Amino acid sequence: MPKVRVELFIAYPPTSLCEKLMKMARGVVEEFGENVELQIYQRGIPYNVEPTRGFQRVRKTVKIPAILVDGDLLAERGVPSEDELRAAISKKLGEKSNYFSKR
Amino acid sequence: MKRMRLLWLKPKRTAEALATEEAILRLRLEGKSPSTLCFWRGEKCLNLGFNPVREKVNFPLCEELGIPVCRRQSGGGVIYQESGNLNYSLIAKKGELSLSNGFRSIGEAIDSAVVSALRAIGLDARLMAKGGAEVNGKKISGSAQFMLWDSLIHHGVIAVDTNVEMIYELLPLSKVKVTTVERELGRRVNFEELADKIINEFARALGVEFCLGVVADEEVSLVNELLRLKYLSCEWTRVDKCQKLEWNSS
Repeated sequence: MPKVRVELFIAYPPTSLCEKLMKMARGVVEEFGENVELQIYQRGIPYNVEPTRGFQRVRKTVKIPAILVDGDLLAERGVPSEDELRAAISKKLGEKSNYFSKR
Repeated sequence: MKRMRLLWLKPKRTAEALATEEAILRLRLEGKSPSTLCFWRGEKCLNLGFNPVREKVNFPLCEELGIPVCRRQSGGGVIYQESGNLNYSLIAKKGELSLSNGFRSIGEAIDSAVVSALRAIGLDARLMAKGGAEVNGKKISGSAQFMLWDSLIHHGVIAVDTNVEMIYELLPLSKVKVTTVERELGRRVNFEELADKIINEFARALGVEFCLGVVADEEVSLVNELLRLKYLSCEWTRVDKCQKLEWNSS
């Protein structure tokens, strides 16, 4: 099953709010083990990986720091709660699991 | 009336001025720095916008002349910086600026204030459609904006006594015709006098009062960190050879 991707868009170098978001996201993503991956993009610095289409769509307009789960914007200019992030990841994992079990 | 700090920066390099703007912005977000209007003049430098069209720049000439290159946070074109330019930067929380004269945006208010200041010293200046000011169909001032959270940097440059021929040589593909304040007036202009006019117009347009201040120690520390991590790093500037010149001149 493909992984769920959590993407962070932060300032370069990170602001205090960006640091807070990174710390929170790293902790939550770790709970889900290998099923979830975290990518961090810094504004103005070339990306090492191809971002999701969802990220590419909002890249120029989104307010940093921002967090997306599988291309869907979860929060911008702030840090969502850990529970909000867990719920968003679980939802995406559920969708992927259903899709692949039906095939 | 709201008060804002006024700073006269004396950066050795353009990168230092850009780092100072960002340090103030970051500390403003955390409530540690006041909203600030800065004026500065810098040494020779090519100041690239956030997404510059690099093909337009004559980098070999830059290297030959030892002109360093830096990249700013805001968008817009390439600026040839030198001591003949007067630069201003307004760093503030968006909500604390009252647009008193019916302006639709802060950018429009500030650009209009610059036009008024230029008219006050005797120029027939006009607002350009894409921002900035022109005199007799030639660009004399440009500006750009960058926002982080609820705060912004609005910075701009006025060509007072700039070497216009050098701009055309460094940016040979640019179609923008440029002029300077002194060229249009046909006389020498005092930078402080022009800055005073701008301060008065900004105060009127934004409904604030400016008070002369100094750069705080915490701001200086962050400036040094931003220079090291960002504005003097090849990772940010993405121009290797010219950037080395900036390092060597430090």
